[in-house]
Amino acid sequence: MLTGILELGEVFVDGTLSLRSLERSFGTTPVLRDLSFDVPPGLIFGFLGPNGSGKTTTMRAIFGLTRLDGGEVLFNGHRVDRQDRLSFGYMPEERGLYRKMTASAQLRYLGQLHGLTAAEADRRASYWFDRLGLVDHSNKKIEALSLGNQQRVQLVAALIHDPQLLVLDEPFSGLDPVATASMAEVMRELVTQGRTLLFSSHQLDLVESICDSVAIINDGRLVAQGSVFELTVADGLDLTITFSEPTDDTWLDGLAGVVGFNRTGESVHIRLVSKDEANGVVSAAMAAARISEFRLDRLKLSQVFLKAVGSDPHISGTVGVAL
Amino acid sequence: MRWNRRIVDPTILLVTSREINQRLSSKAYRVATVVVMLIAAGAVVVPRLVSSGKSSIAVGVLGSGRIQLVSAIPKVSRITGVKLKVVGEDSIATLDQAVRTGRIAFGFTGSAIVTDRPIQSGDSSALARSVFTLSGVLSTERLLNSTVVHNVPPSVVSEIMSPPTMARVALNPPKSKPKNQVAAIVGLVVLFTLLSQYGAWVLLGVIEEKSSRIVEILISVIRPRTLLIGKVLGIGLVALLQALLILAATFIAASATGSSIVGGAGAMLLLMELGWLLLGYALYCSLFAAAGSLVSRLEDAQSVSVVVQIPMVMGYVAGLTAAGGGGGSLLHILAYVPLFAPFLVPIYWNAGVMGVVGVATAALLLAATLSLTYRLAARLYEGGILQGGQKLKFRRALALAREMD
Repeated sequence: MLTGILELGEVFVDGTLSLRSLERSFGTTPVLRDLSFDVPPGLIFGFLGPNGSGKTTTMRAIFGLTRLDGGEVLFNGHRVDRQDRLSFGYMPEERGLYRKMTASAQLRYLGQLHGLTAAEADRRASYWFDRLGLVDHSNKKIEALSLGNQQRVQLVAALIHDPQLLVLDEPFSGLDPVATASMAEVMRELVTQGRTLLFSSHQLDLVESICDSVAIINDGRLVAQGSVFELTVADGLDLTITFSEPTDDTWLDGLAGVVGFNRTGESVHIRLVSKDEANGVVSAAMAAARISEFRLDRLKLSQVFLKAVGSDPHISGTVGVAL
Repeated sequence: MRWNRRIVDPTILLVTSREINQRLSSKAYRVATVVVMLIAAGAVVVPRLVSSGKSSIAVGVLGSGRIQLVSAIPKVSRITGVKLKVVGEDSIATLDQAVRTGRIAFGFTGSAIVTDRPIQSGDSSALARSVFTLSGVLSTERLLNSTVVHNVPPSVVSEIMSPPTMARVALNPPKSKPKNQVAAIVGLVVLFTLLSQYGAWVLLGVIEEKSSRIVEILISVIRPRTLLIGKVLGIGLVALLQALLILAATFIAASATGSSIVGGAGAMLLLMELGWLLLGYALYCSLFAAAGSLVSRLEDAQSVSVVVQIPMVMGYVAGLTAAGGGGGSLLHILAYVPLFAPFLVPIYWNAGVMGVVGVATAALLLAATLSLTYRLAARLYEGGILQGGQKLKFRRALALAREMD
């Protein structure tokens, strides 16, 4: 259930993580610059950016692991404090577990630190071990587990106390496809239960397939934010038309809504401003020659990302003619 | 469930409990404990075995005493297990000279036993056992001769009731060597070894948490100071358990061999060593934790720990010097300096140089210093614990701690 909390003239949704004007510099190098965005509950929220763009610093700031020069982190409309963090789950980029402890002992300890009893922590760990296929490994030391299984245990460590907010830094790094699918399934289940989930990743195709919303930062600034659908249609659509007989490209001259195009054999790839122009362009193509196939695609998130961080190869390098 | 504020933060107990479990489940800990227990027990047993294993000592005798010794010596050897070899001496002067030079272990003039130094009660050496036993045997034989040969008149009966003891003459005053010198030195070595070991545990434990990044998960829910206190407390309790086991091994070995260390001053010395081990641990391990928080890699451990190890080694060397009777007034003063006190105070207490007031003063000074070192260590730890990468400088860590406030 979503509830509204009125505070300082803004309406916050219960369970929303809000970053407000975050500023952070290391020495004279600014790392976060007036960074603001909201992560609502119930969505898988991707946090994207090139290396060194400030993602990890932002995540560390949520947990009070780095000082902020300015701005604030809010949860449920109030500034995050130590008590709030007891109900947060964190999976750092550089995995953090005691190598000499068994998986079960480790999870019991971390659960207790979050306020669970030992029995409750054991019960929950047992559930997750079963769920993630770790039952046979629960009494092994972390150093004896494969990288993928260590990663799974790390995820359970973040989940053991049933957190309201889950922050995962590169959770898919080093996972095989089976483990990736398993982790994505867990993430989907958690947000379906109304939890707030923020995660970072460089695997953009994966992010596109599982995320509902994303925020993209570059040099510590927010450069794009929205649902994956909005972002992948905001800069146009790709229309591919394949002709069954030879034709030139003169039929494209003067067509409204065409940003650019290029040709591969008998196929012409056309970037449209929006899907509204698709009918007119297809009609023009059919008038010019016989067509065997046409397909309308959203942009890939990777294309949106590259454009957002200022290096879109499609627009800047490969388009033949810009109208 | 959320924690309420209580007198003792429950998260400290959780951290403490984890440290205890981790150490106790470590094979290295168990093996090290057994090895040190064996060393401590060996330090008690071996001197006894060595002293009792002497098969032969020389006894000088003047002409008139030789007859008395003929029947007494086999009895003494049978009782003590020490073989006595009788050497004839021409005069009192040559007998004294032989005792002084060590050519003979002791001498018998016919009416007195002559030793180089007074023999203390409780001394279990071959010489002491031989002298005590010979004295008793000769007295008894003299008594028996007087009752059997004569018709036991009343005066003799009186003599039987209070038999004459054999006079013992010491040629020199007793040496100033402390009674439990070996135990004190072994205690010093064990104290230094354990402090080094526990310090390494704390140091490496902190670095492990930093290098594995689990500290990020921990610090997101508990305060750095809580983590520091829990860690030092947990390792401290494990250290205490190990120290008690070592103490128990020492007492058992001493009881089994009849060593004088189980009672009186010996026992007090062991308890003193234990107390100063705990005080030394409290002081040094907070500093090791602070040092560990300044680096992120195990390879850098040595470079930061050396700052803490230097005063430890200095204290240890000072303790050895003091045990050997050297050092003079400078070491007496150093015994009150908290960084060195754990190594010097038990030695000086055993030697009678420091009394109860001196020991209490040194302990109070160390306790007072603890509050300062813990504040400093906690600040360094707070500043350094979340910093990865290169080694942090002391001032930078303090500055970072201020930023985290």
